[in-house]
Amino acid sequence: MSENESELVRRAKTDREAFGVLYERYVTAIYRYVYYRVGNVEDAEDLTARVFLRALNHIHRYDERGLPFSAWLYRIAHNVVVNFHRDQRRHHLLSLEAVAEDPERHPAPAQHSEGDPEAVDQALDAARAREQLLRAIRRLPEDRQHLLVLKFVQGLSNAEIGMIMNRSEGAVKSLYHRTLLQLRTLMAQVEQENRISTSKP
Amino acid sequence: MRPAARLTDADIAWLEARLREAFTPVVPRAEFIADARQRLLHAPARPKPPRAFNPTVLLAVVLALLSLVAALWFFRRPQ
Repeated sequence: MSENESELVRRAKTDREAFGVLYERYVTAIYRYVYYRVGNVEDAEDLTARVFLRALNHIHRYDERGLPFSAWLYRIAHNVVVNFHRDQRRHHLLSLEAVAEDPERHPAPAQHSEGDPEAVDQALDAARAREQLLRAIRRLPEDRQHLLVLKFVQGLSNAEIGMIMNRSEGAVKSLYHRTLLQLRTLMAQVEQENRISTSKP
Repeated sequence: MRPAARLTDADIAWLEARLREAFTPVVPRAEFIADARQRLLHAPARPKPPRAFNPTVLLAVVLALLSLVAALWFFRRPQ
């Protein structure tokens, strides 16, 4: 953590405005993380606000020793998301599957030019492949989804992820490899299910 | 895709490219950022929970116990 940030965190324990500066610094990153863990804008906004409220209520307990403030926030975000999924399971709501199944609200990047049928086909194929991949990711265990989002959405290194997940860098690397292996199997399953559902009359 | 139990470097590169494509950057709405900030700044302060370990109280208890032990030892000594 930079000296500037250490000072800011120290002040934020008693000064709301200082906490507001930390909020502005991290809100986009935490929102991105939460969005890809829950899959829709409403829940992502609600849970992001909850993460910061919890951080505000517990910042007096935060001790910088070895754990950057951002890593502490991601830990809170992970706990908030896990609790949310536990509650949602009772209501049969989905997270990343919701992103995949709601392409109008969660569009993939526009890659086709209107009027070009070949480009439109390519864009549709890409959207379908993205949908299947997100569905496969959603079937991974929580800690593996956590790892993928930290790596690909937040762009964190294995060492940084290790700090957040309380694991060594080597353990993260090993978990990542197992995650990719499982993801490949799940992608094949999703593809198979898709083929069966589209072939039904 | 091959259902092999191992991943080659090419498999990893392919999966990583797919993941990078799937996780497109998202940005929170500006209204949400502003509203949530206001709510945070005006949220009622939660009182700090009492500390389970208070060094001053602990020191006082230890000193009191030592005094008691010393007093007992002094008065039970054969005269």
